[in-house]
Amino acid sequence: MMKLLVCFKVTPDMDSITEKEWNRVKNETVDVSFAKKILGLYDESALEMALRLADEAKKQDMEVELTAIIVDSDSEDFILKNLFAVKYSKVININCTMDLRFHPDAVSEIISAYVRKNGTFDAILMGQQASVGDNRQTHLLTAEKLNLPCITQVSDMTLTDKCIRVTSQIDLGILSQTVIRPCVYAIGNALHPYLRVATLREKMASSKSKVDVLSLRDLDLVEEQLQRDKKSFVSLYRENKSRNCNYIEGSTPAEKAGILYETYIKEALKL
Amino acid sequence: MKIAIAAPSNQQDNIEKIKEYINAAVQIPSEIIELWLIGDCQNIDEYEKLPLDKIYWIKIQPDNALVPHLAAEEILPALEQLYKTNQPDAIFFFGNISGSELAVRLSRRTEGSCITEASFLEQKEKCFYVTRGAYSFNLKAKFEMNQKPYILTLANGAYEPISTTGNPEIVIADFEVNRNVPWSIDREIQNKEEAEGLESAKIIVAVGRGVGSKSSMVHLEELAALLGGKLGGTRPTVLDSWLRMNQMLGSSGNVVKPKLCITLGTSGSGPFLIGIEKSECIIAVNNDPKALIFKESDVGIIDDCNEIAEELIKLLQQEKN
Repeated sequence: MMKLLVCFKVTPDMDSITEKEWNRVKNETVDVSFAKKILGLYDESALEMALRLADEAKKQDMEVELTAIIVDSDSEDFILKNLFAVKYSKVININCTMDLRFHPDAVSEIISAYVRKNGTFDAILMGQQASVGDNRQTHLLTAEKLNLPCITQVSDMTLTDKCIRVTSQIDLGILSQTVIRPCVYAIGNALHPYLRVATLREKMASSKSKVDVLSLRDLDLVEEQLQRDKKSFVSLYRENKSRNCNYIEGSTPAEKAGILYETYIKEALKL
Repeated sequence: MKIAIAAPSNQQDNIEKIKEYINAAVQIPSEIIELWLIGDCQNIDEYEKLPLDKIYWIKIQPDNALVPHLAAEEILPALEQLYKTNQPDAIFFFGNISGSELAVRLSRRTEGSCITEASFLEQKEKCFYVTRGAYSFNLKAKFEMNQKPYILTLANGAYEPISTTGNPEIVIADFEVNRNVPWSIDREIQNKEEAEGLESAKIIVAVGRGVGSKSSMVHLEELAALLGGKLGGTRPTVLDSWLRMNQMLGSSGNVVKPKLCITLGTSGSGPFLIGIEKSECIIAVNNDPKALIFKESDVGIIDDCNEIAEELIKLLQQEKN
């Protein structure tokens, strides 16, 4: 049996937040609770990549267990339930009320505790970065804590002779390798970035599936211990770097393009 | 403070990058700055002119040219050993892929504090503060580092390169490295795609999903060519295969500084702006007057970006003829 674990996050859709709302940042936080909730951009790619691996495994007559895990106290239920519809076997929500925005050490500790309690996974996938915290550390710290290798900037994973063939971006170019032991994979700009859409029938069939909610105590973790961090979050602010936008007015696109060309582009073309 | 800058020896523009890191270290300020140069090096004499106190040249033995990429697992033991011997207060790594991996993993092994992509560093009354982007680069977050060694990578272009020179002593640190990665077989490297020339382009046409579809790319490529510039785009346009991976602009792609950047149908998301914010002049075309891109632009046109592009092509062709 091949066991795959995908760690994901649900984040506010940053593109739906306006300048005015960003400027409301106060002390240590900004209220973005009104924004639409979406899967973390890279996490969404990780969820799809695991599904594709599972599809290939089934074609090779391998049994697959697909688990998705989120560390959150307040997730949108429909996003989590949708994972059952696209054929995740288990969806785990680890309830944690701590402020985890800038605490990848605590998040990786929670993921590692879940892995230790639930046996070896052949592959642990997660996005290389998620908005809000933008810490870019959780995958690497998880690998260190579980004493596993970590491949970052993964763009594709396939199954060859029951082993995982991984393509990832490195500083020198593109690295392809076959991984023969459990490993943490941080998904970057993936070949298939978006999660597949479940059919109505799949949604109906999975409507009674339940998300398993675990507490820190279930994982033998204590919140006070997790709160210790080697860095302290001091403040959050909006940097005022705006340029003074000069709008070009005109009654037609041709008129506006003409002004743009004469006033700005011609000059630049001389350089 | 004693600061070590850990840099690979096989990267292009290495010296310029190291000069940026030296400048960051000087501004903190620091008493001792040393360079940990990792791997084989053909041009060591260039490093000898840098304003550093010492260079520790970590020669990886045995060197295996067939596998030029070192996995983090292979280098980390050498870095741990060097940390134990030299005990720097802070270690700076490059913000590239391998540098970020090494920084985070070494921080775990040395029990230090770690921040990646720092944009500003400051020391006040024995406290060390680091600022970096958060909320998809829409905000800045400031942190106090509590535990040495402070391990950091810097955001692209956070500091200008230092212009002074020096005469550091070179110490050879020969480490035997096990070049076997027991968890991985059949490793193959395909060299970097040929650069699109975005980094050196004087004019860039940057497109977003607002241009509508992949079919628009043909006339937008034509527009970029008529301007003598290059075409780049946001992450979604690349993920939707409208453009190639090496045309991506932004925090996970190219960071450019052209004289003129014309954005067409981009909303102005934080990660994309990181890629173009150093442009001398930004022109934004978008039919949504509330788009964030206008706030970050010098010139704005509220209109259909494809129609404006078509009109510009006509004007440029007339000029050419």
